[in-house]
Amino acid sequence: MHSNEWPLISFTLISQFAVGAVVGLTVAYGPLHDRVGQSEATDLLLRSLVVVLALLAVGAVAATLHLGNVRNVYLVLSNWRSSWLSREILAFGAFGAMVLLFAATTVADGVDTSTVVAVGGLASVFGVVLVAVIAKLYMLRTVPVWNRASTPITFFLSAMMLGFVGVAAATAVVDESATTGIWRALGLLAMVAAAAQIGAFEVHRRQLGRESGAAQRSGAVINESGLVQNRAGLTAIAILVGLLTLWGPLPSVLGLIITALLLIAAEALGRHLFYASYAREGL
Amino acid sequence: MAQTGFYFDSAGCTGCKACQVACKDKNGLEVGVKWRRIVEVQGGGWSTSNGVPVNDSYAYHVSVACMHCENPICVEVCPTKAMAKGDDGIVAIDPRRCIGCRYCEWACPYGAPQFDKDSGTMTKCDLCRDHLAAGKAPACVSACQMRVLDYGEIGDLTHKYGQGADVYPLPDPDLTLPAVVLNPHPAMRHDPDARIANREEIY
Repeated sequence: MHSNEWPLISFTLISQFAVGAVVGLTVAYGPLHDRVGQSEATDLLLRSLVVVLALLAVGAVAATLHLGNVRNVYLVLSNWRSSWLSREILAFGAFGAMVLLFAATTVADGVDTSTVVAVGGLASVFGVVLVAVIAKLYMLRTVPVWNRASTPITFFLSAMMLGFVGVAAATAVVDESATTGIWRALGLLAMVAAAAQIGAFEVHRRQLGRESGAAQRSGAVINESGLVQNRAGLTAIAILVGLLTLWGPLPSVLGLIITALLLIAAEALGRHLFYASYAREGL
Repeated sequence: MAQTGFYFDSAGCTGCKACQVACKDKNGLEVGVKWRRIVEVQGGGWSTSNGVPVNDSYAYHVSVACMHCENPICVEVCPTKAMAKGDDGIVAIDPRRCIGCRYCEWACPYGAPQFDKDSGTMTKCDLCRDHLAAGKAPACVSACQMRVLDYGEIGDLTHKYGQGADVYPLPDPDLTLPAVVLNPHPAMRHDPDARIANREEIY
Protein backbone atom coordinates (compact mmCIF):
# COMPACT_ATOMS: atom_id res chain seq x y z
CA MET A 1 0.00 0.00 0.00
CA HIS A 2 1.17 3.50 -0.81
CA SER A 3 2.08 5.30 2.40
CA ASN A 4 -0.28 8.20 1.71
CA GLU A 5 -3.40 6.02 1.47
CA TRP A 6 -3.99 5.39 5.17
CA PRO A 7 -4.99 8.99 5.93
CA LEU A 8 -7.44 8.92 3.04
CA ILE A 9 -8.86 5.52 4.01
CA SER A 10 -9.31 6.77 7.58
CA PHE A 11 -10.86 10.08 6.53
CA THR A 12 -13.36 8.61 4.08
CA LEU A 13 -14.42 5.71 6.31
CA ILE A 14 -14.77 7.92 9.39
CA SER A 15 -16.78 10.50 7.44
CA GLN A 16 -19.07 7.84 6.02
CA PHE A 17 -19.47 6.14 9.40
CA ALA A 18 -20.37 9.51 10.94
CA VAL A 19 -23.00 10.21 8.30
CA GLY A 20 -24.57 6.77 8.69
CA ALA A 21 -24.52 7.16 12.47
CA VAL A 22 -26.24 10.56 12.38
CA VAL A 23 -28.94 9.21 10.05
CA GLY A 24 -29.33 6.13 12.28
CA LEU A 25 -29.51 8.19 15.48
CA THR A 26 -32.10 10.51 13.95
CA VAL A 27 -34.24 7.57 12.90
CA ALA A 28 -33.77 5.77 16.23
CA TYR A 29 -34.34 8.71 18.54
CA GLY A 30 -38.13 8.91 18.25
CA PRO A 31 -38.88 5.19 18.82
CA LEU A 32 -36.21 5.00 21.51
CA HIS A 33 -37.73 7.99 23.27
CA ASP A 34 -41.08 6.18 23.38
CA ARG A 35 -39.57 2.90 24.58
CA VAL A 36 -37.03 3.90 27.24
CA GLY A 37 -38.06 7.42 28.15
CA GLN A 38 -36.68 10.86 27.38
CA SER A 39 -33.86 10.88 29.88
CA GLU A 40 -32.23 7.67 28.73
CA ALA A 41 -32.84 8.30 25.04
CA THR A 42 -31.42 11.82 25.23
CA ASP A 43 -28.42 10.64 27.23
CA LEU A 44 -27.67 7.96 24.63
CA LEU A 45 -28.10 10.41 21.76
CA LEU A 46 -25.76 12.94 23.34
CA ARG A 47 -23.08 10.37 24.15
CA SER A 48 -23.28 8.97 20.64
CA LEU A 49 -23.02 12.41 19.04
CA VAL A 50 -19.98 13.22 21.19
CA VAL A 51 -18.36 10.04 19.86
CA VAL A 52 -19.29 11.05 16.30
CA LEU A 53 -17.81 14.54 16.81
CA ALA A 54 -14.63 13.06 18.27
CA LEU A 55 -14.32 10.73 15.29
CA LEU A 56 -14.88 13.63 12.88
CA ALA A 57 -12.03 15.46 14.62
CA VAL A 58 -9.82 12.38 14.19
CA GLY A 59 -10.86 12.20 10.53
CA ALA A 60 -9.98 15.86 10.00
CA VAL A 61 -6.53 15.34 11.50
CA ALA A 62 -6.06 12.14 9.47
CA ALA A 63 -6.92 14.01 6.27
CA THR A 64 -4.09 16.46 6.83
CA LEU A 65 -1.56 13.62 7.17
CA HIS A 66 -1.55 12.96 3.44
CA LEU A 67 -0.65 16.57 2.67
CA GLY A 68 2.92 17.42 1.77
CA ASN A 69 2.68 21.00 2.99
CA VAL A 70 0.17 21.61 5.79
CA ARG A 71 1.20 25.28 6.20
CA ASN A 72 -0.94 26.30 3.23
CA VAL A 73 -3.99 24.32 4.30
CA TYR A 74 -5.88 27.55 5.08
CA LEU A 75 -6.12 28.08 1.30
CA VAL A 76 -8.00 24.85 0.73
CA LEU A 77 -11.39 26.47 0.11
CA SER A 78 -10.02 28.92 -2.49
CA ASN A 79 -11.19 26.97 -5.51
CA TRP A 80 -14.66 25.91 -4.35
CA ARG A 81 -16.07 27.04 -7.69
CA SER A 82 -14.42 24.14 -9.56
CA SER A 83 -12.51 21.85 -7.18
CA TRP A 84 -14.40 19.00 -5.56
CA LEU A 85 -11.66 18.82 -2.95
CA SER A 86 -12.47 22.36 -1.81
CA ARG A 87 -16.15 21.42 -1.82
CA GLU A 88 -15.41 18.29 0.20
CA ILE A 89 -13.76 20.31 2.95
CA LEU A 90 -16.66 22.76 2.85
CA ALA A 91 -19.21 19.93 3.09
CA PHE A 92 -17.22 18.24 5.86
CA GLY A 93 -17.13 21.45 7.91
CA ALA A 94 -20.84 22.10 7.35
CA PHE A 95 -21.72 18.55 8.39
CA GLY A 96 -19.53 18.83 11.51
CA ALA A 97 -21.26 22.09 12.43
CA MET A 98 -24.69 20.48 11.96
CA VAL A 99 -23.70 17.54 14.19
CA LEU A 100 -22.58 20.03 16.81
CA LEU A 101 -25.95 21.80 16.52
CA PHE A 102 -27.70 18.42 16.76
CA ALA A 103 -25.80 17.67 19.98
CA ALA A 104 -26.52 21.13 21.37
CA THR A 105 -30.23 20.73 20.63
CA THR A 106 -30.41 17.53 22.68
CA VAL A 107 -29.24 19.32 25.83
CA ALA A 108 -31.05 22.62 25.29
CA ASP A 109 -33.87 23.39 27.67
CA GLY A 110 -37.44 23.28 26.42
CA VAL A 111 -36.71 21.53 23.14
CA ASP A 112 -39.23 18.85 22.26
CA THR A 113 -38.59 15.52 20.57
CA SER A 114 -39.82 16.62 17.16
CA THR A 115 -37.38 19.57 17.11
CA VAL A 116 -34.47 17.26 17.99
CA VAL A 117 -35.50 14.90 15.20
CA ALA A 118 -35.89 17.83 12.77
CA VAL A 119 -32.37 19.09 13.52
CA GLY A 120 -31.10 15.53 13.20
CA GLY A 121 -32.86 15.28 9.86
CA LEU A 122 -31.18 18.46 8.68
CA ALA A 123 -27.78 17.14 9.84
CA SER A 124 -28.56 13.92 7.94
CA VAL A 125 -29.21 15.88 4.75
CA PHE A 126 -25.85 17.64 5.16
CA GLY A 127 -24.31 14.20 5.72
CA VAL A 128 -25.82 12.79 2.55
CA VAL A 129 -24.45 15.79 0.67
CA LEU A 130 -21.01 15.14 2.21
CA VAL A 131 -20.96 11.50 1.04
CA ALA A 132 -22.06 12.59 -2.44
CA VAL A 133 -19.35 15.26 -2.59
CA ILE A 134 -16.67 12.80 -1.43
CA ALA A 135 -17.76 10.43 -4.20
CA LYS A 136 -17.77 13.21 -6.78
CA LEU A 137 -14.22 14.15 -5.79
CA TYR A 138 -13.03 10.76 -7.02
CA MET A 139 -15.10 10.73 -10.19
CA LEU A 140 -12.37 12.27 -12.32
CA ARG A 141 -12.98 12.05 -16.05
CA THR A 142 -9.40 10.83 -16.50
CA VAL A 143 -9.73 7.93 -14.01
CA PRO A 144 -12.24 5.46 -15.44
CA VAL A 145 -12.18 3.05 -12.48
CA TRP A 146 -13.52 5.79 -10.22
CA ASN A 147 -15.60 7.71 -12.73
CA ARG A 148 -18.65 5.45 -12.54
CA ALA A 149 -21.76 4.84 -10.47
CA SER A 150 -20.04 2.24 -8.30
CA THR A 151 -18.14 5.02 -6.48
CA PRO A 152 -21.17 6.78 -4.92
CA ILE A 153 -22.99 3.46 -4.50
CA THR A 154 -20.18 1.90 -2.47
CA PHE A 155 -19.64 5.09 -0.45
CA PHE A 156 -23.32 5.30 0.50
CA LEU A 157 -23.41 1.59 1.34
CA SER A 158 -20.32 2.07 3.55
CA ALA A 159 -22.09 4.90 5.37
CA MET A 160 -25.19 2.81 5.85
CA MET A 161 -23.50 -0.37 7.06
CA LEU A 162 -20.93 1.23 9.37
CA GLY A 163 -23.19 3.93 10.79
CA PHE A 164 -26.23 1.73 11.30
CA VAL A 165 -24.36 -1.13 12.93
CA GLY A 166 -22.68 1.39 15.25
CA VAL A 167 -25.99 2.94 16.26
CA ALA A 168 -27.55 -0.52 16.62
CA ALA A 169 -24.82 -1.46 19.11
CA ALA A 170 -25.31 1.80 21.01
CA THR A 171 -29.10 1.53 21.21
CA ALA A 172 -28.90 -2.11 22.24
CA VAL A 173 -27.13 -0.95 25.41
CA VAL A 174 -30.31 0.72 26.65
CA ASP A 175 -32.92 -1.38 24.84
CA GLU A 176 -31.33 -4.81 24.85
CA SER A 177 -34.16 -6.80 26.36
CA ALA A 178 -36.76 -5.73 23.84
CA THR A 179 -37.45 -8.32 21.18
CA THR A 180 -38.48 -5.68 18.70
CA GLY A 181 -35.96 -3.00 19.59
CA ILE A 182 -34.94 -0.39 17.05
CA TRP A 183 -31.46 -1.91 17.11
CA ARG A 184 -32.81 -4.95 15.29
CA ALA A 185 -34.08 -2.90 12.38
CA LEU A 186 -30.86 -0.89 12.15
CA GLY A 187 -28.76 -4.04 12.47
CA LEU A 188 -30.73 -5.74 9.73
CA LEU A 189 -30.35 -2.73 7.43
CA ALA A 190 -26.60 -2.78 8.10
CA MET A 191 -26.45 -6.48 7.13
CA VAL A 192 -28.40 -5.77 3.94
CA ALA A 193 -26.00 -2.92 3.10
CA ALA A 194 -23.00 -5.17 3.75
CA ALA A 195 -24.34 -7.86 1.42
CA ALA A 196 -25.19 -5.22 -1.21
CA GLN A 197 -21.67 -3.84 -0.91
CA ILE A 198 -20.12 -7.18 -1.84
CA GLY A 199 -22.59 -7.59 -4.70
CA ALA A 200 -21.92 -4.08 -6.01
CA PHE A 201 -18.17 -4.62 -5.88
CA GLU A 202 -18.46 -7.88 -7.79
CA VAL A 203 -20.48 -6.16 -10.53
CA HIS A 204 -17.85 -3.40 -10.61
CA ARG A 205 -15.00 -5.94 -10.86
CA ARG A 206 -16.66 -7.78 -13.74
CA GLN A 207 -17.35 -4.55 -15.60
CA LEU A 208 -13.68 -3.62 -15.39
CA GLY A 209 -12.74 -7.00 -16.83
CA ARG A 210 -14.80 -6.27 -19.94
CA GLU A 211 -13.20 -2.88 -20.59
CA SER A 212 -9.87 -1.82 -22.04
CA GLY A 213 -7.09 0.66 -21.29
CA ALA A 214 -6.87 2.16 -17.83
CA ALA A 215 -10.04 0.40 -16.63
CA GLN A 216 -8.58 -2.96 -17.62
CA ARG A 217 -5.36 -2.17 -15.72
CA SER A 218 -7.44 -1.30 -12.66
CA GLY A 219 -9.33 -4.58 -12.93
CA ALA A 220 -6.07 -6.51 -13.17
CA VAL A 221 -4.78 -4.87 -9.96
CA ILE A 222 -7.97 -5.87 -8.14
CA ASN A 223 -7.90 -9.44 -9.42
CA GLU A 224 -4.22 -9.92 -8.64
CA SER A 225 -4.38 -8.42 -5.15
CA GLY A 226 -6.03 -11.46 -3.55
CA LEU A 227 -7.91 -9.13 -1.21
CA VAL A 228 -11.29 -9.50 -2.89
CA GLN A 229 -11.84 -12.89 -1.30
CA ASN A 230 -10.52 -11.72 2.09
CA ARG A 231 -12.90 -8.80 2.07
CA ALA A 232 -15.86 -10.93 1.01
CA GLY A 233 -14.95 -13.51 3.68
CA LEU A 234 -14.78 -10.90 6.43
CA THR A 235 -18.10 -9.44 5.34
CA ALA A 236 -19.72 -12.88 5.23
CA ILE A 237 -18.52 -13.63 8.76
CA ALA A 238 -19.77 -10.21 9.89
CA ILE A 239 -23.19 -10.89 8.39
CA LEU A 240 -23.28 -14.32 10.03
CA VAL A 241 -22.36 -12.89 13.43
CA GLY A 242 -24.87 -10.11 12.86
CA LEU A 243 -27.68 -12.52 12.05
CA LEU A 244 -26.81 -14.71 15.05
CA THR A 245 -27.05 -11.56 17.14
CA LEU A 246 -30.33 -10.42 15.65
CA TRP A 247 -32.08 -13.76 15.81
CA GLY A 248 -29.71 -16.10 17.57
CA PRO A 249 -27.99 -16.75 20.87
CA LEU A 250 -25.35 -14.01 20.81
CA PRO A 251 -25.78 -11.12 23.26
CA SER A 252 -26.81 -8.04 21.31
CA VAL A 253 -24.21 -5.47 22.36
CA LEU A 254 -21.23 -7.83 22.13
CA GLY A 255 -22.48 -9.39 18.91
CA LEU A 256 -23.04 -6.02 17.26
CA ILE A 257 -19.65 -4.73 18.36
CA ILE A 258 -17.97 -7.81 16.85
CA THR A 259 -20.03 -7.32 13.70
CA ALA A 260 -19.03 -3.66 13.55
CA LEU A 261 -15.32 -4.47 13.95
CA LEU A 262 -15.49 -7.11 11.21
CA LEU A 263 -17.28 -4.71 8.89
CA ILE A 264 -14.74 -1.96 9.58
CA ALA A 265 -11.91 -4.37 8.73
CA ALA A 266 -13.70 -5.46 5.55
CA GLU A 267 -14.35 -1.88 4.51
CA ALA A 268 -10.73 -0.91 5.18
CA LEU A 269 -9.69 -3.68 2.76
CA GLY A 270 -12.30 -2.53 0.27
CA ARG A 271 -11.14 1.08 0.49
CA HIS A 272 -7.54 -0.05 0.07
CA LEU A 273 -8.59 -1.84 -3.12
CA PHE A 274 -10.35 1.33 -4.22
CA TYR A 275 -7.13 3.34 -4.00
CA ALA A 276 -4.87 0.53 -5.20
CA SER A 277 -6.95 0.13 -8.36
CA TYR A 278 -6.29 3.73 -9.40
CA ALA A 279 -5.14 3.99 -13.01
CA ARG A 280 -5.61 7.04 -15.16
CA GLU A 281 -6.03 7.43 -18.88
CA GLY A 282 -2.83 8.15 -20.76
CA LEU A 283 0.47 8.15 -18.91
CA MET B 1 -5.60 34.71 -24.78
CA ALA B 2 -2.40 33.41 -26.36
CA GLN B 3 -1.68 29.71 -26.11
CA THR B 4 1.95 28.67 -26.04
CA GLY B 5 2.74 25.00 -26.62
CA PHE B 6 5.18 22.39 -27.85
CA TYR B 7 5.66 20.65 -31.17
CA PHE B 8 7.13 17.15 -31.27
CA ASP B 9 8.10 15.09 -34.30
CA SER B 10 8.00 11.44 -33.26
CA ALA B 11 9.12 10.32 -36.73
CA GLY B 12 12.52 11.91 -36.22
CA CYS B 13 13.07 11.21 -32.52
CA THR B 14 15.87 8.77 -31.70
CA GLY B 15 15.00 8.56 -28.01
CA CYS B 16 18.37 9.95 -26.91
CA LYS B 17 16.74 11.68 -23.92
CA ALA B 18 18.83 14.83 -24.22
CA CYS B 19 15.62 16.82 -23.72
CA GLN B 20 14.83 14.94 -20.51
CA VAL B 21 18.34 15.46 -19.16
CA ALA B 22 18.44 19.13 -20.17
CA CYS B 23 15.15 19.72 -18.35
CA LYS B 24 16.39 18.01 -15.20
CA ASP B 25 19.66 19.90 -15.36
CA LYS B 26 18.12 23.31 -15.93
CA ASN B 27 15.53 22.90 -13.20
CA GLY B 28 17.67 20.99 -10.70
CA LEU B 29 15.18 18.13 -10.43
CA GLU B 30 15.86 15.36 -7.94
CA VAL B 31 16.03 11.68 -8.89
CA GLY B 32 12.59 10.39 -9.89
CA VAL B 33 11.17 13.78 -10.85
CA LYS B 34 11.00 14.21 -14.61
CA TRP B 35 9.08 17.11 -16.07
CA ARG B 36 9.88 15.78 -19.54
CA ARG B 37 10.01 12.05 -20.19
CA ILE B 38 10.71 9.87 -23.17
CA VAL B 39 8.18 7.09 -23.54
CA GLU B 40 9.46 4.09 -25.48
CA VAL B 41 6.67 2.26 -27.30
CA GLN B 42 7.07 -1.20 -28.76
CA GLY B 43 4.75 -3.55 -30.63
CA GLY B 44 4.38 -6.07 -33.40
CA GLY B 45 6.67 -9.08 -33.81
CA TRP B 46 7.50 -12.03 -35.98
CA SER B 47 4.82 -14.20 -37.58
CA THR B 48 4.56 -16.48 -40.61
CA SER B 49 2.44 -16.04 -43.69
CA ASN B 50 2.25 -19.06 -46.03
CA GLY B 51 5.39 -20.36 -44.36
CA VAL B 52 7.24 -17.12 -44.94
CA PRO B 53 8.53 -15.28 -41.86
CA VAL B 54 7.08 -11.79 -41.60
CA ASN B 55 8.43 -9.09 -39.30
CA ASP B 56 6.15 -6.21 -38.36
CA SER B 57 7.85 -5.27 -35.10
CA TYR B 58 8.15 -1.56 -34.46
CA ALA B 59 9.31 0.94 -31.90
CA TYR B 60 8.99 4.67 -31.53
CA HIS B 61 9.50 7.37 -28.93
CA VAL B 62 7.22 10.05 -27.58
CA SER B 63 8.69 12.98 -25.68
CA VAL B 64 6.10 14.09 -23.14
CA ALA B 65 6.03 17.14 -20.88
CA CYS B 66 3.14 19.25 -19.62
CA MET B 67 0.80 19.89 -22.52
CA HIS B 68 -0.37 23.26 -21.10
CA CYS B 69 -3.88 22.12 -21.97
CA GLU B 70 -6.60 24.50 -23.05
CA ASN B 71 -8.88 22.75 -20.57
CA PRO B 72 -6.38 21.81 -17.84
CA ILE B 73 -7.84 19.37 -15.36
CA CYS B 74 -5.03 20.12 -12.89
CA VAL B 75 -6.22 23.74 -12.65
CA GLU B 76 -9.81 22.58 -12.33
CA VAL B 77 -9.17 20.22 -9.40
CA CYS B 78 -6.52 22.17 -7.45
CA PRO B 79 -8.22 23.23 -4.19
CA THR B 80 -5.93 26.17 -3.44
CA LYS B 81 -5.59 27.74 -6.91
CA ALA B 82 -1.89 26.95 -6.74
CA MET B 83 -2.18 25.63 -10.29
CA ALA B 84 -3.09 28.37 -12.73
CA LYS B 85 -3.14 29.05 -16.44
CA GLY B 86 -1.45 32.31 -17.38
CA ASP B 87 -2.30 34.80 -20.10
CA ASP B 88 0.35 33.11 -22.25
CA GLY B 89 -1.55 29.82 -21.91
CA ILE B 90 1.21 28.28 -19.80
CA VAL B 91 -0.01 26.18 -16.88
CA ALA B 92 2.25 26.73 -13.89
CA ILE B 93 2.20 26.04 -10.18
CA ASP B 94 2.76 28.51 -7.37
CA PRO B 95 4.51 26.51 -4.62
CA ARG B 96 3.58 29.20 -2.11
CA ARG B 97 -0.06 28.11 -2.43
CA CYS B 98 0.40 24.34 -2.90
CA ILE B 99 -0.57 21.97 -0.05
CA GLY B 100 0.87 18.85 -1.69
CA CYS B 101 -2.46 17.01 -1.75
CA ARG B 102 -1.44 15.44 -5.10
CA TYR B 103 -4.97 15.70 -6.49
CA CYS B 104 -3.55 17.21 -9.70
CA GLU B 105 -1.21 14.22 -9.99
CA TRP B 106 -4.21 11.87 -9.84
CA ALA B 107 -6.10 13.86 -12.43
CA CYS B 108 -3.52 14.75 -15.10
CA PRO B 109 -3.54 12.14 -17.90
CA TYR B 110 0.03 13.17 -18.91
CA GLY B 111 1.56 12.75 -15.44
CA ALA B 112 2.83 16.32 -15.66
CA PRO B 113 2.53 17.50 -12.04
CA GLN B 114 5.14 15.69 -9.95
CA PHE B 115 5.68 15.66 -6.23
CA ASP B 116 8.83 17.10 -4.70
CA LYS B 117 9.53 15.31 -1.42
CA ASP B 118 11.80 18.04 -0.07
CA SER B 119 9.31 20.88 -0.35
CA GLY B 120 6.18 18.73 0.02
CA THR B 121 4.66 20.50 -2.98
CA MET B 122 3.93 19.68 -6.59
CA THR B 123 6.28 20.75 -9.36
CA LYS B 124 5.89 20.86 -13.13
CA CYS B 125 7.11 22.19 -16.46
CA ASP B 126 6.46 25.91 -16.95
CA LEU B 127 7.78 25.86 -20.52
CA CYS B 128 10.93 27.61 -19.21
CA ARG B 129 9.14 30.91 -18.77
CA ASP B 130 12.41 32.54 -17.73
CA HIS B 131 14.01 31.47 -21.00
CA LEU B 132 11.03 32.69 -23.00
CA ALA B 133 11.20 36.06 -21.25
CA ALA B 134 14.87 36.30 -22.23
CA GLY B 135 14.05 35.42 -25.83
CA LYS B 136 15.56 31.95 -25.55
CA ALA B 137 14.05 28.56 -26.30
CA PRO B 138 13.03 26.14 -23.52
CA ALA B 139 15.92 23.95 -22.33
CA CYS B 140 14.47 20.78 -23.84
CA VAL B 141 14.02 22.39 -27.26
CA SER B 142 17.58 23.79 -27.23
CA ALA B 143 19.02 20.41 -26.27
CA CYS B 144 17.29 18.36 -28.94
CA GLN B 145 20.03 17.31 -31.35
CA MET B 146 17.53 15.94 -33.89
CA ARG B 147 15.54 19.20 -33.86
CA VAL B 148 12.30 17.30 -33.36
CA LEU B 149 11.11 19.62 -30.57
CA ASP B 150 9.84 23.11 -31.13
CA TYR B 151 7.72 25.62 -29.24
CA GLY B 152 5.65 28.67 -29.96
CA GLU B 153 2.15 30.02 -30.24
CA ILE B 154 -0.04 27.02 -30.92
CA GLY B 155 -1.69 28.65 -33.94
CA ASP B 156 1.73 29.22 -35.50
CA LEU B 157 2.79 25.63 -34.72
CA THR B 158 -0.38 24.26 -36.27
CA HIS B 159 0.13 26.42 -39.34
CA LYS B 160 3.74 25.26 -39.65
CA TYR B 161 3.41 21.57 -38.79
CA GLY B 162 -0.25 20.59 -39.04
CA GLN B 163 -2.33 19.08 -36.25
CA GLY B 164 -2.38 15.94 -34.16
CA ALA B 165 -2.08 14.63 -30.62
CA ASP B 166 -4.10 11.43 -30.68
CA VAL B 167 -1.47 8.69 -30.60
CA TYR B 168 -0.65 5.87 -28.23
CA PRO B 169 0.19 6.18 -25.35
CA LEU B 170 -1.26 9.68 -25.07
CA PRO B 171 -4.86 9.95 -23.84
CA ASP B 172 -7.85 11.08 -25.86
CA PRO B 173 -7.10 14.79 -26.50
CA ASP B 174 -10.75 15.66 -25.91
CA LEU B 175 -10.20 15.02 -22.17
CA THR B 176 -8.11 18.16 -21.65
CA LEU B 177 -7.46 19.73 -25.09
CA PRO B 178 -3.64 19.61 -24.98
CA ALA B 179 -1.72 22.50 -26.55
CA VAL B 180 0.59 20.30 -28.57
CA VAL B 181 1.26 19.53 -32.20
CA LEU B 182 2.61 16.07 -32.84
CA ASN B 183 3.93 14.62 -36.03
CA PRO B 184 3.23 10.89 -35.74
CA HIS B 185 5.80 8.16 -36.30
CA PRO B 186 4.92 6.02 -39.34
CA ALA B 187 4.52 3.03 -37.03
CA MET B 188 1.89 4.73 -34.87
CA ARG B 189 -1.41 3.01 -35.27
CA HIS B 190 -4.25 1.73 -33.13
CA ASP B 191 -2.56 -1.49 -32.08
CA PRO B 192 -4.08 -3.04 -28.94
CA ASP B 193 -0.79 -4.89 -28.33
CA ALA B 194 1.38 -1.76 -28.32
CA ARG B 195 3.09 -1.37 -24.98
CA ILE B 196 5.27 1.04 -23.06
CA ALA B 197 8.68 -0.60 -22.82
CA ASN B 198 10.20 1.67 -20.16
CA ARG B 199 7.30 1.85 -17.71
CA GLU B 200 9.64 1.56 -14.70
CA GLU B 201 11.66 4.50 -15.94
CA ILE B 202 8.86 6.95 -16.58
CA TYR B 203 6.70 6.31 -13.50
